[in-house]
Amino acid sequence: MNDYKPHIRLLLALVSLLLSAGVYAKDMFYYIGNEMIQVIDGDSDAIVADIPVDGWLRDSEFSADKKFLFAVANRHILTKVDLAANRVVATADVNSDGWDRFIYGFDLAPDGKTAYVILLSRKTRQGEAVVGTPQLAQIDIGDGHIIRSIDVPWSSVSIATVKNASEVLVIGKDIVKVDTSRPEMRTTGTYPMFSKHWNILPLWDYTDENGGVYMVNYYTPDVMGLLSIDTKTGKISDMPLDGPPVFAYSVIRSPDKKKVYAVMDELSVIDLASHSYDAVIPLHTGTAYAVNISSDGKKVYTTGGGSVTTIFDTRTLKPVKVLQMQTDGMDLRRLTY
Amino acid sequence: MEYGLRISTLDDVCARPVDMGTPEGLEAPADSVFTSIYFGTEFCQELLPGGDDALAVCSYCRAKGRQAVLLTPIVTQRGLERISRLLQTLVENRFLPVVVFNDWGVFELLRHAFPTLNLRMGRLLNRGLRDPRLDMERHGAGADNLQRGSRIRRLAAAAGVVAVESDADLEAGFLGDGSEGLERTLHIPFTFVTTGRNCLEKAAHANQGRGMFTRGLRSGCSAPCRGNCKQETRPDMLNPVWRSGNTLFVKAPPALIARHTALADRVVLHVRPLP
Repeated sequence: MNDYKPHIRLLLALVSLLLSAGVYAKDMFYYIGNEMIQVIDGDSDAIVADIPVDGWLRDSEFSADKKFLFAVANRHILTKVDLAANRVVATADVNSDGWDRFIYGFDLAPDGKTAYVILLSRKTRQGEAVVGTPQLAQIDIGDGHIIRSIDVPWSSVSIATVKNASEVLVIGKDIVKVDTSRPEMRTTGTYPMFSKHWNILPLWDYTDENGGVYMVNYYTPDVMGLLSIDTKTGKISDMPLDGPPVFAYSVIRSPDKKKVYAVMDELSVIDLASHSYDAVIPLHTGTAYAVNISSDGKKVYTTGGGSVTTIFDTRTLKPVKVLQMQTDGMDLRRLTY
Repeated sequence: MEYGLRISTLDDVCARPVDMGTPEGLEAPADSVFTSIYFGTEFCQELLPGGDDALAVCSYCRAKGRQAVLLTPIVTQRGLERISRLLQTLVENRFLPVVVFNDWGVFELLRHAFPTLNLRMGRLLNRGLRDPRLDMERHGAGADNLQRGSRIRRLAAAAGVVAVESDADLEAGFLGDGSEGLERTLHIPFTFVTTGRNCLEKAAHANQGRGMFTRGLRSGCSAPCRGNCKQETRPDMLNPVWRSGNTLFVKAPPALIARHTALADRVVLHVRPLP
């Protein structure tokens, strides 16, 4: 027995070293469904928890301490999920004063108490419809009340908070830059897209998973391109891809920053060095809205639209597992410990 | 290849594709004839034909040896009842039209209340992209993905549906390879771009006054769009689009039509954009 002790000590030391060096990463995936969030263990790729939620879910984001997931239900109810207990612990509604409000785009602020959202609003007054101007608003995530706001263009549907949230980029037909560093928010510039004939549907972004890079795809009449925003610096860049476009709802970058995976009816692999498509694999399980990737880059997950999650080996691009989810879904988010 | 003709009224009927000017991209032999007549509506329940009009089309088709195909739209509960009454009228008069459904509620009604009718899955159940802002003649590496729509086709085939229908969306492939046993039908040349309950034509002809927006969806419609379509001009679109009732259409370019036609068993020619 004594002969084994050195080996056990060595093994324990090695594990300790790996853990302390942050080499081992544990992925948990959160399936953003309909009246349900489902938790997938990234090691076993098994569904390990179901979290009942009121409403249909859209935008979502993890808190900086990785203890909570915030998801927007029915486009107006902010739902806070405790990730240790796997249950909803609080909700906050942005509807108030007779206004129906709809959240498009959601980003938590670094203060941990507020979030930036784009609000579309409407109410009826004496039988007539009153439609409010779209607004970028900073809201209290505790009770949903609006702390401050600024008008933004119609078609604004997504946001990226940059430079430690001293600036918010509002993404729609164009990108509007909003200075949030002062008590009163103000627009400071516009990054043009519409005049360049870009079309964009930025309903899915994986800024956390992409290491702080907001990335969505866009289309010109001729090609697909990738729009990137470095949220640390606020730098906006775009990369038109060579060749006729594939069609994709969402994109995610590989951890080594060499590839981008895109999904709609196919899983497409884009090589960032050559600006071209490496592979296009039909999704045998049907249309997918969302794509995510394991933190080691070995597995890609496609899901949403329908009610299945398909897991691909990124080396072979073969599906290795198909999970039947409880409901149709909108998105899949990854949290890495 | 079979050929069908989409009509608004019997005044639109002609015998052969060449009589109406075969769309570019379709190579139809000169002696091809229309074997089916499509009537009804795919997009708006307010345009469902009355019993007399439907009986007239079915009678014409019987007399001419053509298949009568009733198009049905997405409906509300009220629309379901209208379709039920319409089909009851036809069945009581010993007509058994083939029915295209674009609404799963309609499908449920048909298979339970009218189980003897042949059902075809309509083009609104193809959720593929139809964005006219893109160069529709360019197609990428993901084009002609025959897997696309395979699950819904298998579902339809298992439920007894006889055909799948589509128009020329941006990526050919939704009609599949025929392995599900469904007849594959392509509608050309007008591809629908977008449709919905909010109808600008209805709003333009509505009575002005308080509450027209808040109550507009529930107000009646005199179908001012019937037989009409208007070309729209937008600077960000490469291809011309038409508004017809609650639906925008784009004319598919010849190369796109040719790609889709290669997958079709039947082609339905539309005389003009019809909602």
